Amino acid sequence: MNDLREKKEGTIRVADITIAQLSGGLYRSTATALKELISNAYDADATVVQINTNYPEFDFISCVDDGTGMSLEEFRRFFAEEGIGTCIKRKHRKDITDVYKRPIIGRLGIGMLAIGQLCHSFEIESHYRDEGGEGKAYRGEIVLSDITIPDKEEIIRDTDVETQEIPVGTWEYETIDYDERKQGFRVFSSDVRLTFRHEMKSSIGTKETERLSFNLSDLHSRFYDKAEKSIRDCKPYLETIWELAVLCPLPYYGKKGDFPMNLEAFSLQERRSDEFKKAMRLIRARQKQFLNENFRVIFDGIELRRHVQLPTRTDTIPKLYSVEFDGSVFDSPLEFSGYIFAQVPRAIRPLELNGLQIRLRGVGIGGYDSTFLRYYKQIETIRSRWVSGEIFVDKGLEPALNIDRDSFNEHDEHFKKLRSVLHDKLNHVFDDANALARALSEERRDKKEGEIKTDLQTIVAHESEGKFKLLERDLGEESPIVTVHEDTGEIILNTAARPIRRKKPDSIIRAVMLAYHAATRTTETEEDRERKFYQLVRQILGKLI
Amino acid sequence: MSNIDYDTRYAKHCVRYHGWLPASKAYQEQIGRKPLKYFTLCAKQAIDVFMLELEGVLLRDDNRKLPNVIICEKEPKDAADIFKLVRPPLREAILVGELEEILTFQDTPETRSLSPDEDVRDRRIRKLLRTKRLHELAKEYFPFDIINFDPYGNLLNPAQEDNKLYHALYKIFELQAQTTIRRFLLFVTTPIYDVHPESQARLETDFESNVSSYPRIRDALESSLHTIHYHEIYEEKRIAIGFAKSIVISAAKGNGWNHRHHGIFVYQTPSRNKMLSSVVEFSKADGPSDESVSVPDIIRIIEQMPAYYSYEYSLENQDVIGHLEAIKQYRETVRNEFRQEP
Repeated sequence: MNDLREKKEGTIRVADITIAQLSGGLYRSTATALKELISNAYDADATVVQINTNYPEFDFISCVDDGTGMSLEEFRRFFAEEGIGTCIKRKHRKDITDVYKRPIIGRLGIGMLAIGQLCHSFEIESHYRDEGGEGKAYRGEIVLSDITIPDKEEIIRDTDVETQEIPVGTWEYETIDYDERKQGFRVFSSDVRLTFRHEMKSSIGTKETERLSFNLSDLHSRFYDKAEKSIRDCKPYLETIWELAVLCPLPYYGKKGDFPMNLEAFSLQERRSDEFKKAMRLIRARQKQFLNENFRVIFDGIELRRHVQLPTRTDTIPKLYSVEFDGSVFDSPLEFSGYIFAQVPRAIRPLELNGLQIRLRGVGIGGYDSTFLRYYKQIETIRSRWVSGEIFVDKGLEPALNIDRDSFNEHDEHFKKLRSVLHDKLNHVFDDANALARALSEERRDKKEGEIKTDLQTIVAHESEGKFKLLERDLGEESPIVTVHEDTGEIILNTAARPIRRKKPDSIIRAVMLAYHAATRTTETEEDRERKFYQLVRQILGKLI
Repeated sequence: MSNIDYDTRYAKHCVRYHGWLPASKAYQEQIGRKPLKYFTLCAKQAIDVFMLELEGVLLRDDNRKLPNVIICEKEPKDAADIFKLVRPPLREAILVGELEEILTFQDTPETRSLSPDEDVRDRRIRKLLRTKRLHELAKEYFPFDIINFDPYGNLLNPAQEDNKLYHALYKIFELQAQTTIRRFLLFVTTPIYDVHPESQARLETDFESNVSSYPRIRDALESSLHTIHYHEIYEEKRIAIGFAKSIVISAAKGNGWNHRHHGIFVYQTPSRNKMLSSVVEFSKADGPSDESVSVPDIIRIIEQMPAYYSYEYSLENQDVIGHLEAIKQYRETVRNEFRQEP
């Protein structure tokens, strides 16, 4: 028996320094930080959230919504009592919002600190109605401590790190009169971080004329017409707008509640297919859902709409696929649906729309994933650039979401299932794309060969002044490449002749032989023959190569 | 200030309607250029901006944005409302800060060696650097065709030496003078209740000095007001004369500007406090200040100004009420158009 044996149990704590890091910036980009504030407004049943950056100086940020506001009790609980990371939005298994029945996005209660990535301190003002319906309001100020890397190192090396409380910042509030016109929540700061200012300022030229003035359709055109390959061509300010528009739970860009798709781009056969009809039903249903949610985001005066690459061009062969899954994984429900779209043979532009966008409760996670959730089969080929799609997860997968709400834990069983279903579908998508590409390539080759044949006939007839006409015949491999029948005025090109059994060199040899025979039969002198031969070779090879 | 509902302040709108608007139109006609560059400390209702737009003085661009309008707002929470209402991007940023702090900024030993774009951990220094940056930015925005100096504050209290607003006003003349602009329009508004005793004394001293130096002014006082003694003149008139002379003209002359008052207006707030708003056009003096221009202007003030709008009068003035309603309606139209954009 070992008397030193010890057995204990207890709860696991998270060190304060870990939480402290949340206030300094957790998010990949400006847009992903702002997305958190927008998500809070969405969860608060706001109909409009307005974000302003004081373009082109970017020295002031405000985010104003007309939602239910944040009660003073919640403010106190969040900042003063229980602390950051305590969210009660899903309390009592609440899953949708009261007014617009939107799926609640927030889970952890760290979203509001996202603005900490953009500014050192911020003010808030909330006008709300309490449970009894009485209008209340308060104004608060949050000053975040700048915990820099040397500070963190110091804290980590401190002997008392395990018990040390890390001050994330200070808070204060005062109650004010409720103003119905201000119902909702507003966050604003004139204490913005230099990193944010510099990033945004780098988008703006110094000349007056380079300052932007655009409306929504101008913006759309910038993204689709002027960004040749990538939204990165548009610089950080527009990139932020783009990213927000893609990630937020918004309807598609399009007039009268429609979405940007040209049905004429699809073949009749494709349009009649069950797969197409199902995918269209899903797309329309999602658009309707987002329109019904009645949620708008206005960024520096421009209303954002979700950008999406659906077929609008008729010079590709588009195919649309539906994805649906409704089942249980490890006794936990997982439900998703969406569409995948391939356009053969043209790359998706801008390239930020290439890949799969997973949307959890309507919110885009991490942008379009051009690796297709690590789909290894086609990822290195050009064909992977032809595919885009959106998958809407309605149930499950949330535990797989990492704390930045921008990526997934790929070991999560729900994520693995999602990936597996999508990869099965992608097998089908890429098989079809490959087959279509092959067929398209053959069609193009046949067409080109037909054009060449006609061209050669014209050249021979022209250069022989109508004395000979060119015919192509399969005379067998043993027969000569070119046979001339002076009596009938025919030059026969033996298509079966394969002198060195390589396609291109063989066609060149045939062309040279054709030129030689045509020149020989249509000239009198050596000098003329040489000139004609040269002309014919030049013209024929010009068409062939 | 931020809680004042300017949408129903009809007495103030009398000033816009009878003072600011006709002067702006006359100025625009005179210089024959559109759009004008306008600086304002508009409240979140932005009535002046929408009025000048509705009346064709300010123009939106093809994308319905308002270029050439520079707004300064000291309250960040109100700046957010202005953003919502005036419809950004204006193509220019709002200066979010106190105008007097911004314009009169001077480096301290802490900020002298630092770039305005420096990110420092000390919040106080960060705030100073922010003001320094806004100061540099504001300087770049000059010159303006119309400056609407309608601040939350009193140009007559505290007394001039300690009055940052006065120093800011002075700085405006200085910054305008450093540019190529030859003339501009200024609307300058201040409370005239709760005037600091030293300011009172200053107005009186300057008045007496004028009376003794310029017989024409003395004659005008005698013929129009039948007195040359400051305290015998009724309050609104004597403050109007004193404000023009000791505040506006004094700051303008110091920077080489000739002046011509389009009007001085005194109006009442709902709490019956009195406010004064001067509408003055300035032109660059080619040499030292020109008394042949200055004296007639002061005489005109003595003879014709101020106009007075009581609170009660304004509630019955249907032209003014109708005009303000039309502006509010126009503002709503712009907002609705904005709502329906996609």
